[in-house]
Amino acid sequence: MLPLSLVSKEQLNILTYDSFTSEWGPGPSIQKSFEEICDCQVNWTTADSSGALLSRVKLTDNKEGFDIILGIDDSLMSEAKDTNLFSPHALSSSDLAKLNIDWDNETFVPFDYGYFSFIYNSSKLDNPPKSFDELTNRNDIRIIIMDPRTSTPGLGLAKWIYQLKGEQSKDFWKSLQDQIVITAKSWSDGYGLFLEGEGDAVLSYTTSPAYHAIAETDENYKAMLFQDGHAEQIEVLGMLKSAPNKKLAQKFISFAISKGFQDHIPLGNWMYPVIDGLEGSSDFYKYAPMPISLDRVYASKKDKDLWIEYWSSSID
Amino acid sequence: MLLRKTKTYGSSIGHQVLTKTINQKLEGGLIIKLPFYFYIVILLFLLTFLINFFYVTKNYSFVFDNILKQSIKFTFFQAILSTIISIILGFILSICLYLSNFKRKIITTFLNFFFIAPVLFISYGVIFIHGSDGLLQNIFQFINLNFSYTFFGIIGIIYVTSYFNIALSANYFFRKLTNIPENYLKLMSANKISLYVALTRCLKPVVLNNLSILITMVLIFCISNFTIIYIFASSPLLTTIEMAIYQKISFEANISEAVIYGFLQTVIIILILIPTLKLRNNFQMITLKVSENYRIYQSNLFSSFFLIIFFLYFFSPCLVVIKGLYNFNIDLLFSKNTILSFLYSLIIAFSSLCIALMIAISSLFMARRLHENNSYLSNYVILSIFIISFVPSISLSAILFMINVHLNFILPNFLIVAFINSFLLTPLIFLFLFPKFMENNKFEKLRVLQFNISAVNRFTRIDFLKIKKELIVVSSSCFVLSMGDLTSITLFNSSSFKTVPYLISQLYSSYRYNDAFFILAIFVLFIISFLYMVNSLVYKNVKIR
Repeated sequence: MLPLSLVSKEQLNILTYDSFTSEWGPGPSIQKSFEEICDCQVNWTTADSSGALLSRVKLTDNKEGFDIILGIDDSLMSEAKDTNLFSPHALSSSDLAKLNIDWDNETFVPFDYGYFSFIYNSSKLDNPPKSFDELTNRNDIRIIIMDPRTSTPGLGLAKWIYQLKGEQSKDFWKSLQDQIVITAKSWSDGYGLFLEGEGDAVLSYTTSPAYHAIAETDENYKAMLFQDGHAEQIEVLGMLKSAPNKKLAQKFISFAISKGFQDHIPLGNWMYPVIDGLEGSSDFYKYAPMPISLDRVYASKKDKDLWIEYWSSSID
Repeated sequence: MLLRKTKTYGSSIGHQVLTKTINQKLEGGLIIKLPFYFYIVILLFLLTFLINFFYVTKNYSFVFDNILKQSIKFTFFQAILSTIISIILGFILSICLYLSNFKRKIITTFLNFFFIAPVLFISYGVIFIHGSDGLLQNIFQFINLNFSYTFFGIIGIIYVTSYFNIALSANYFFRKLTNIPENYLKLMSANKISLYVALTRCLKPVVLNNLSILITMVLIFCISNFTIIYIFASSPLLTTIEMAIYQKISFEANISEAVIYGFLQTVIIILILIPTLKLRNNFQMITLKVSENYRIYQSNLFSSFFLIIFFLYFFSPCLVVIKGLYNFNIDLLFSKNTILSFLYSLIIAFSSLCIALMIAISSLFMARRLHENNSYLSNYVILSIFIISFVPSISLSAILFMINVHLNFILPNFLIVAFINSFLLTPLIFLFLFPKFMENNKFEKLRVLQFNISAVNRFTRIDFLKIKKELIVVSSSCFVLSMGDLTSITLFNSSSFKTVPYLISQLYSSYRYNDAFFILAIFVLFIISFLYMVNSLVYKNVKIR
């Protein structure tokens, strides 16, 4: 007869976005690493995007019994906190000090980050623009962006433009409109269309060229590096108040900022890890150099509505 | 003289008996009616939930916002445009096919396939041909022709939406044309009447009879083109109500507004279509006539030219299958993910088909029974069957999702998806079986009353035999339609529950284009083999021209 502990392992239920847990994403390797140390069973449930994760727990009041949400980004943090569905992470300040980014949020913990950028194929586009103003002057460049209402990179672009242009954002959006050939619903749709040749540049991350160079051995894809700076996106995880297994959830949160988890981020999620000193990530940094960063902005609902308003008023 | 009087008297008594019998009401058959009653209970349950959403929604200002106005405008603009294009081109195609020498069985099989082909397959196929890096652009570059165009936006939406509906309309008109009575044709041949004159004057009523039902179906399909809009909409201005609902649910967690959006769409469709939802007394056959038909009209240069254009239009997206097979990947094919996706697709298709068949047959029985009993309620049976297809499936998914939340997730996700699919399949099955089911109903009623045949016996011994072939054909089509659906699964998928179309879209969204095309090719080949087997079964031992 098997011991009871082997038959009924503790369960950790994590809600995340689709690509994280796909067989080519970091999820399966992270699951394996964590299960080796926790003597538990990790169950993933997915929603199709980062925005959909928060909607799901809001709609159900977490009746589905998730312990952790992994994958909402910094632009959703304030809205997520306002739902009152999340518990503080309980990590000490010394734990957070190990991170390579400044972090003092009490509810959410970062697990990776990136910078928004436009990606282009250097074999097709010479002399890429070095600023937004240069981009709007290049009528030969057709760009693909994402809808800020349905995509976090889309919202990221709206934030990026607002950070640089402030009250002039609406005019800037208008000057950009002629070059926007597709406004995709999600990042993956937009990026797919770019790779199919529907645009000359696509809104993505400075880390995207690393994927092409390392996974596809294609070094033609490059990020446009703007001298006036790039907006940042931080992906976070948080523990739910009604988590059935809080102890295990807390253990996973600590694990998320450890080497066992972070090792799988650069070449699994193709984003910057939040701790330094990971082996085998030098190639990743070679193809995904850090750009000039703009100041971090923690968006409130009002901020987001304003950024979206600037964008939508330019297309009416 | 006496004999004549007796005869008249006898015939008068006979007529009275006949009239009395015809006016007698049929009863019984509760077991066959049960699925329909169950369906009505579900409808009422959904309605209660809807009323509750209205009750909890305090602020209705969103009904007047620009997003909704724009969505409504675009939804009906693209749907009406696609419907007009589909019906006109479908009619032209049906004439070209009617004049051609192709076998009828082959024509209808292909038209059936193009109608039920998975939306993802055709969409990716169209991008493969017409995309900026597609086959056509490469050919233009090869011959140094500087001509570029984009298929994303309204052109792509109309092109792909019409694809399925041209096939549906052509199939409908083709069946009508093949059912033109032989004596009509002989008469026209004797009077040397051209096809144009025949169609515009003599045959107009035959061809246009019940056209409103076709318009209804096509319009509904054109409105419910969520996947096409998702793939081809290039601007936020090209948003349909379904897309706005998806946004409300997935990104704003606002079920109430999503459901009210869905309700608005339903009301608008009903207002547009309610005059057409009448039970017709003339049950014009739309089933395929398989016997030798008298032919007086032959193909000409115009019809052959149009046929080639249509041939290119329909077959060009299928080239994506070759691309898929070229990227053969045995590991992916036998991976746990792929096998599970196929398994779930089959389970969903089978479950939704069973549910839809039960409801459709039961409602057919109800509609005929009420019609035979001269009850005006028969029209309401039809309306109740159609009404659920007017509700956007994404809205329906949202309601069922919330019901499941209240039930503490007692219903498995695959069952919810199966239910949603079945609601959309039911009107199709109903419509397809309706003419056969109603065939000879007056005569049958007489016999049923004379010989006291029970409702169950009438169904199993008469109806079932009558509709058997049509039942197999429509079931196979619905099975494939359900397998290829990618609407409700976008809300109910999980890492362990996904269907083949969802897996394909997941692979496509993760840079794995070759793998996506490969699975797509396998999926399409599976569907073709399945339809081929069903066709062989149906047309076995039937001699067709």
